[in-house]
Amino acid sequence: MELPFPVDPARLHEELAAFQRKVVDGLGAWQQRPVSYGSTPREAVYREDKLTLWHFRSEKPPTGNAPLLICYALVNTPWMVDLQDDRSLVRNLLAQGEDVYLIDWGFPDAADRWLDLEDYILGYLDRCVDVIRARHSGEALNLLGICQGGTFSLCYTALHPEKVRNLITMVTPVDFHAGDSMLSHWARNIDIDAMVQSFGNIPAELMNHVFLTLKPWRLMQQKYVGMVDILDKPAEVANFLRMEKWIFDSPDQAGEAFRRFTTDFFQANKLVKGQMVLGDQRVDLATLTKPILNIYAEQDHLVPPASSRALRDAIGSADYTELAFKGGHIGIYVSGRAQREVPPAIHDWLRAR
Amino acid sequence: MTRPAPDFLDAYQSLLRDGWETWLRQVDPKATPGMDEKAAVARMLEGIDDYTRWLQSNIASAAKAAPDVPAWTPPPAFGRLSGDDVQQRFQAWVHATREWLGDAAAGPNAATHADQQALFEALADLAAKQQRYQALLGQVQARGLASLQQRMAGKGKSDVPTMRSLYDTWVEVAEEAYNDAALSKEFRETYGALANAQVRVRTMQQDLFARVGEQMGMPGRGDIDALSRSIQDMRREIASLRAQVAAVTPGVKPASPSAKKSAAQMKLAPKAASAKKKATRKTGAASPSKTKSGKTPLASKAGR
Repeated sequence: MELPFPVDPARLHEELAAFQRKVVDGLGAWQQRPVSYGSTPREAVYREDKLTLWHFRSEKPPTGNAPLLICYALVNTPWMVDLQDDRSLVRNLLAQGEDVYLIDWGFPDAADRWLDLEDYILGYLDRCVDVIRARHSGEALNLLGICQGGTFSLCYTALHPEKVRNLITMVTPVDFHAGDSMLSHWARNIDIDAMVQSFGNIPAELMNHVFLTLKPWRLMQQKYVGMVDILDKPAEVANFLRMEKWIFDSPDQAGEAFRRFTTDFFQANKLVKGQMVLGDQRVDLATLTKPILNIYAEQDHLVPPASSRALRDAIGSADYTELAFKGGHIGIYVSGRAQREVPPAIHDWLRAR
Repeated sequence: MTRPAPDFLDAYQSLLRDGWETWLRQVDPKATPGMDEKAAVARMLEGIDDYTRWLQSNIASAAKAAPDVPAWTPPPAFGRLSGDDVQQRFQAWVHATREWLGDAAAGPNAATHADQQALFEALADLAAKQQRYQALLGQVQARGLASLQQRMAGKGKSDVPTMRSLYDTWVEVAEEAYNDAALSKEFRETYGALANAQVRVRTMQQDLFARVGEQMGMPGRGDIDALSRSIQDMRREIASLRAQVAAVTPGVKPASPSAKKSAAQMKLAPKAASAKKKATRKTGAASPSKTKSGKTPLASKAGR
């Protein structure tokens, strides 16, 4: 037979054998203790239904100009921001002097099927903001929205500008049709109403499957082949397993909120068109005049930079700053570069305002 | 339904049996005890060669058939079961089943029969959509392999790749091919049609189960759905009432009973407890353990 490249059968055989040896030798690494995340000490300061508002404890008094609330996405748990001691946006923000709160949306079940976007944004998020403001003499807070939580934060700030001092968005989709967004592209032809009618809440397994099929060979195969290389390094195996746990330990999506988010944002792209309505109020990004720091990831395969950067032209704020991070949608929280660059950038930007 | 089960069952069993047997033969058709390593490697390379030729033929047919989706043909692993065979047998099974179910229904089971007919049509439609999607994925794989061959052909004779480097390159080109395809209009339509067909089948199956459950006196999805809608309405009302109460009640503390409990549970690390005291002094905020129970933590006048 004729292959388009030279082959050395003996070498191939040797390589295969070495790979198998690595697998066998490294099997013990799997027997380590279960991994966990959310390592920074914290206390719950508010609970409602499945939601918990966490306040993180710092070893030194906060020096920031206002408390900082992190609003994470409904997809996945928020612990990506506090994965482990040396990979923690929260811990690094605390170290910078910020007073950090985090919304943990929890795991919706059948009782939450009819939770709508209004319930999340004008209800839960607003009440969390009020709880924090009440703890801090009623002052406006700094809001940091991540991914879908960034979209929520934009809507919220547009409707409640008096409660937000500064707004930070991270890897946040704004123009859902900009850039090569595979998710948005695929969602366009799906009958979301029928889907939610059939599923009720959208299962986490289905969501995970869709995310994996964005890069099927890399995410379902190559990373596990690559894992064999680190089997003899327990700390790296633990990091790998922790990330795996976070990826797959994800909540179902409340059906009605999912339906609205997909049809209004992904399909109709209402936010950037100024057509988004929450309750009886139109969300007009042009009315956003608060200082905004928009952080996006240059290699983001979930939220293309063009989608995030569309914010610049949509808002009315004269104080708008963009920060491009050299990495991907997850790397922006967990990479070594992220630990060094992102928290100081956020803190410095806030301190100047 | 007194009619005996017709030949569609035979056709279906035959399809399964042939597929299983040919797969078994393919698993190790030439293995003999005592075969040496060189022969084993040669066999492996022969398999790769077969696979490459199969993909090349797919690329060729894809080019010829454009813009239509080419019929997907199974790889050599399916032995004598060609793509045409699979198509024909499947169509024969669909035809036979459709005929069997096609009789006009009457009597007390008419509604059930009509549901079964509709479900079958939805299943057949799903299979067609699935096939179209698989054909697209087959093209992606073929393009990836072709791209891999081109890349490897550019390497020098002395540049022997490791399996790992070959694999990593293959993943890279496969992802590139997939990315291009997945962002196309054709893929979007195919993907959407497949998802919608799956949901249609699922919904029909749910309806069938719900009817059976109803007969057994069990609550169905509709009942649960109605309950959860009521729960949500009540939650909204409670939140609104709490906001109103907070607006006229000064000094309502910003923490809930559940938060109080949780804070106690979170006392895990000794240094965390001291940090909490510091934070409390700094902000002057009430500690959750000191909050009044049974009150809304909302102090805001701006309810939902």
